[in-house]
Amino acid sequence: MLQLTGQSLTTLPVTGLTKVKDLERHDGPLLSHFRSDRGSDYLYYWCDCDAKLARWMVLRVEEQDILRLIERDRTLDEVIPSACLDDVAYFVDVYNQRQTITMVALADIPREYRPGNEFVDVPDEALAGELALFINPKNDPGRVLGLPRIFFQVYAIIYAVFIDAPKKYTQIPWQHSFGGKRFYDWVQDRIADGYKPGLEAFEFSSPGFARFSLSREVGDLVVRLMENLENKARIIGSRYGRLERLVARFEKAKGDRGKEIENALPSATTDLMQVAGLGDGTALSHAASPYEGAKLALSFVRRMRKLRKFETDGFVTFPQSFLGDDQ
Amino acid sequence: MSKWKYAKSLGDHDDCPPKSLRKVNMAAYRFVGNPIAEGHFLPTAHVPGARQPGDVLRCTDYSLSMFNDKAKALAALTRLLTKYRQIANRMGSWIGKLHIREDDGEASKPSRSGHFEFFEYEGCNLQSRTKLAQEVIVADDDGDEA
Repeated sequence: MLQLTGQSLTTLPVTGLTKVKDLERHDGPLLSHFRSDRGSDYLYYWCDCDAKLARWMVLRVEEQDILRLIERDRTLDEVIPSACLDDVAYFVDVYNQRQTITMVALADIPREYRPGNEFVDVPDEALAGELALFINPKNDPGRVLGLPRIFFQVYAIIYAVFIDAPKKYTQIPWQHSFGGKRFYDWVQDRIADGYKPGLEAFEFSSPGFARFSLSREVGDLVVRLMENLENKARIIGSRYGRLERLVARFEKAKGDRGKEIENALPSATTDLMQVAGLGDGTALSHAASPYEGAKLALSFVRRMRKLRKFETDGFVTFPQSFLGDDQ
Repeated sequence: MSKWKYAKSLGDHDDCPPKSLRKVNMAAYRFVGNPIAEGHFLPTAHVPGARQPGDVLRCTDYSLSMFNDKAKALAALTRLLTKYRQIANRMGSWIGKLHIREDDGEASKPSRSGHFEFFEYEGCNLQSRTKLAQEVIVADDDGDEA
């Protein structure tokens, strides 16, 4: 065990530390998030051991840094120890039921106890039920305030397509001359308990974050489809444009010509849904008509693009951690 | 008599070991030191200081972490040695290879990274059948061996 240069303490000068979750495990925890009874966030980082005792580094950090570790926005060396909010870290040597504490200035932390440049491999249980998006309001804070609403709409779309598959769509905006809000409120109201998303925290700073409670499975799908929108932007744009033109022609056509165009709508709708990652189009098989199915598909993709634009305009960063990637 | 190696402790937890476990007959890989010692095959619950003060035991603290693929085990150990520079003191810096038989115990379903948990049966001795396969050496930031 390395010699530490610091001051011995009789106890850790933090009260009521309880574990929130393990952020990395292999044959036991290696990195864990703890919270004090005053609501401060701490990391317990495994750093050394011998035959009898183990040594942990304890440091106070911002919640945002923990979220960035979880979502692979920061590597471990970018947080430990540089993101420590204090000028010192605490080393806890644990043996049997006893422990000794040493307070060490950050500059005196041995090199061997500083992590290298790697992301944390977060277990699925640490990801489940939550997802964080990282925001940068820059000079347009009003724009970022709209992020949760659009995120919830896209989440509801993904839920509807992959999990709910409604037998009938109602509150269709273009039928009753009201805006899309009522339709998307209807889609969101259908989300079952256990999948319902909520906004748990919104730190409105630069940088900041929005932390959602949700089904991580659905949340991951939202993020993956944002990647898909970027990777297949050209073909999605082409199929969107084709379907949009077909719909416009259908709206103007009469009689047999209208029927002819209507017959072409389902395949164009399926083409768009498939390339946008929204399944094979069967989610819209219960639409009241091919026209309704086409309009819904266009609306879904427009909402997804709106969410994606937050990232391309530099207001949001989506996470890189996904369920099933754990050790 | 229970078939499990740590039966008494397993009984303190719900659904432990999980009913989803399966018997396996396969090559497996575990992080070990050189020479391979009994301590490299102790579950977390029996490793001093392996959990933080005040942490509670869980069912998987009585299992052994393994991998079903050598390349995945190498990748995982390389990442661990990078993030926790002294981790070789705890779990070694070698990949050990062994063959798990159906009468050794039961395994969880591997994750995408190849990792799975292995719960041993009473009398199982994996240490004696494990061979060193490959050492992992991670250079530190200066390019020197860590």
